[in-house]
Order: sequence, then structure tokens, then C-alpha cells
Amino acid sequence: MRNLLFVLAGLGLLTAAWLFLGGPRRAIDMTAYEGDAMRGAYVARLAGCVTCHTVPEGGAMLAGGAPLATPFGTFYGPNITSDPVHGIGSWTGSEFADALVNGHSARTGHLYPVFPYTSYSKMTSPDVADLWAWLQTVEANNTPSRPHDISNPFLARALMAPWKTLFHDVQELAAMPEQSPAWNRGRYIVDGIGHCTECHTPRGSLGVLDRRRHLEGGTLPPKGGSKGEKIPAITAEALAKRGYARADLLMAFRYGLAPDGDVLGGSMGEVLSDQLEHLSADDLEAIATYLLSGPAN
Amino acid sequence: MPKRQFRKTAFTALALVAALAVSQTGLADADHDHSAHEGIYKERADTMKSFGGAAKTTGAMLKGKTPFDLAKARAAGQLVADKASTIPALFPEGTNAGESEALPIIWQDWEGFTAAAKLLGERAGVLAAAEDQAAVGAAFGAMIKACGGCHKTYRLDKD
Repeated sequence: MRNLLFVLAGLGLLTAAWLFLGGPRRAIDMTAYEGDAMRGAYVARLAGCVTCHTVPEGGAMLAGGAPLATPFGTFYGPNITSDPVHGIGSWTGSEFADALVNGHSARTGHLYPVFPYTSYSKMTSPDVADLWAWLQTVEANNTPSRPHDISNPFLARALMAPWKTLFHDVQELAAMPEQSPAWNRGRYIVDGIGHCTECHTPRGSLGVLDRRRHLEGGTLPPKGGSKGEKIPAITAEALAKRGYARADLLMAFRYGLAPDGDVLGGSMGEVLSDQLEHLSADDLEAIATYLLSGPAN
Repeated sequence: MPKRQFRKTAFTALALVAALAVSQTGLADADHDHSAHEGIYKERADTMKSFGGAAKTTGAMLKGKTPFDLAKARAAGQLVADKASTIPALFPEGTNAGESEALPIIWQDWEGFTAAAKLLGERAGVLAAAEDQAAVGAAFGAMIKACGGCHKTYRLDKD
């Protein structure tokens, strides 16, 4: 009798979790901003879209990406060109914004957080509008998106609602006025749009970032038949230990050269050529400012 | 407690005997292979370390940590230019055992791999012939990107 009560209570709780259906959402009024496609091209570099949505070395721009192995299965960045059938050409701006910051697609439902909406939710509304304006100009490509290789997609998709209710924070980053504009911009890039934190912060068993260990380093599962990749810590302390001062960080962002003479490769190599290489000197300085100061928490 | 300790000792002894037996069995062959591997792994590591040294010295100048020295920068370029052509020979097929960071894609895409080594040699050659600090800066950046282009695809980054 007592057991039955427990089971019923459990089921009730579970249903309640589902009722939240992915938790709070951030509404972006896409008609309030006139997106600037030129600026959007830069926003796309800040957001690192190319790395996951384009096959490295010669794949068609944003027509779908290389496999991304995770403990939950292998994911393939979908085609996000302006193709109306295989890309997102038939989407509305609001649908795009909903996917980007709320992790919800009008077509497929709740999205998996390998698409880092957990970080993109920090994007400013003008950045979202500019990015959308640019994406609509990307040449259509009719390569079908490759389905993800996960063991039980139906269950996994259904589980995303409670996962998001519990773990997805849709709040924008509140500016910290006591910190410099460069610091705030750096934080916006590292913890928000640039989503450095998604790989450089360790994850718990449910794939949730362990924010108490912010930027203390993570791991990537094995790639190319070889061993897994260890993502280094980039806290102020860890960087100092490896000999990084401001000039070293800037040299690393620009060319990949580490203070010890090594040249960064692996997944960071992709981040360098797809993302950091395209950023303005001011933004690279801002990232350095934020990382070297250590987060104010 | 003593019984447990005895088991532990017995187990260790057994493991040692087994290990010894295994090592004796394939001694001649394994020894030969192993030394060859060690040789190539060490040669490879030494070459990469010498590149790292060259990169570090020149990088320090360009970061303003050490005074600019054109001769040193050109020497760094010359060192890499000379050794870049030996890279393919430093990666015999299947030499990615143990702690090696070499990815198997090296041998699946051998053409791309050797092309990347060739590109490095060419760009290092430009650095070796640089005439002033601006030219060193540009040539060095291009050379380092050639290093990174190869590391991105063919090397596992463990740290």
C-alpha cells in the first residue's frame, strides 16, 4: 500500500515536470529589430556556427556538419542554409529565435543541448536578429540533414522537456557595472555567444555544465578511432600556470601558438580557424580581459 | 588480515611470473619492434620539440618579451624549413601506440598529411628569407598556421 503511494507520488511529480514543458521561455520580438546581414555575418563567427554546421575542409557552408560524439550518442549539425526543404529557409524569424535561445523548434520540438542554446540564450536580441538576417542570405543547399545516431531518439526527445525545465536558464547575462565594458563583453563571448564554456567547463552525468567548476576544463569523447580529447582549464589561475599573459593569449587566439611553443590543434584548431581567426582585435582583447581577471562569482 | 595479505603477495608473485613469461616469449621480435618504435617516436618528438623551440623564440620576440633579432627569426625559419621534409618519414603507418597523439587519419589521408608537411616547409622557407620585422611577423604567423592546420586534423590534443 505504502509502496503504491510512493509510485503514485513519483508518477505525479514526473507528470508535473513534463507539464512545465521545457520551462520558461524568453520571448524575442523579431519585428522590433531590423536585422543587419553584414553584422550578422560577424555574429555568426562569434557564435561559431560553422564549426558544427559545416563539414571541415571544403564542406558546403552550413549545409550540415561532421559527427559530434557525445556520451549520449553521435550528433550531426543539421543543414541550416536557406534551402526551404532541407535547411531553414521556410522558418520565420520568431521560430529561429525560439530555437536559438529557448532550444525549441516548431518542427521537431525540444532540441538537444549539443546545440548550445544553453549559451545562446545569453545572446542580445539585436545579435539574434542580425544573425537571422545573415542566415537568410546563405546560399541554399539541398543536402538532407543527417539523422542523429542515438539509441532511443523518441525517448530522448521526450526527456528534453523536463531537462530544460530543470537546467536551461533563459536569462540574459546581467551587465556587471562594476566591471569594465571589455570584461562584460568578454563574458558575453566566453559564457554566452562564443560558448567557450560549453567545452571548457566539466559536465555532470546528465550532460549539465558544472557551473561551480566554471572553465576548469572538460573532456571530449574519442574521435577518429583514437583516444578522447582533454579540454584544458582556462581559469585565470590555470592560464597563469601555463605561462599565459595577455600577449600570449592574443597570440594564441590569432595563430594558435601557446607560450611553450606548441601550436594548438584538435577541436581548438577548428575553433581557431572557424571562429577566433575572424574576430576583431577588440573582441579578442575582451576575451583576454575576462579570462585573465577570472569570473566575478 | 594475514590471510588476505598472503593472497595479495601470492597474486603479485603470480602476476610477476606471468609478466616475465610473456616478455620472454616474444623477446627477439618484440624487442626489435619496440626499439624501432621507440626510435621513431623519439625522433618524432625531438623534431617537434625543435619546432616548438623555434616557435617559442620567435613568438617571444613578436610579443615583445625579448628584443627583436632578425638573424634568430630567420634561423628558426631555416630549422623548420630543413626538417619539414622529414615529417612524412617520421610517421610510419600505425605508429600511434601508447601515449602517441598521432591520429589514424594520418594514414587514411596520407596525401593530405604530406601536403600539410610540404606547406609547412614552404612557409618556413619564407620566414627564413624575411628581411625585416614586418616580414617576420607575417611569415611567422603563416608558418604557425601551417603547424596548426596539421595539428587540427592529424593530432589528438591531450592538453
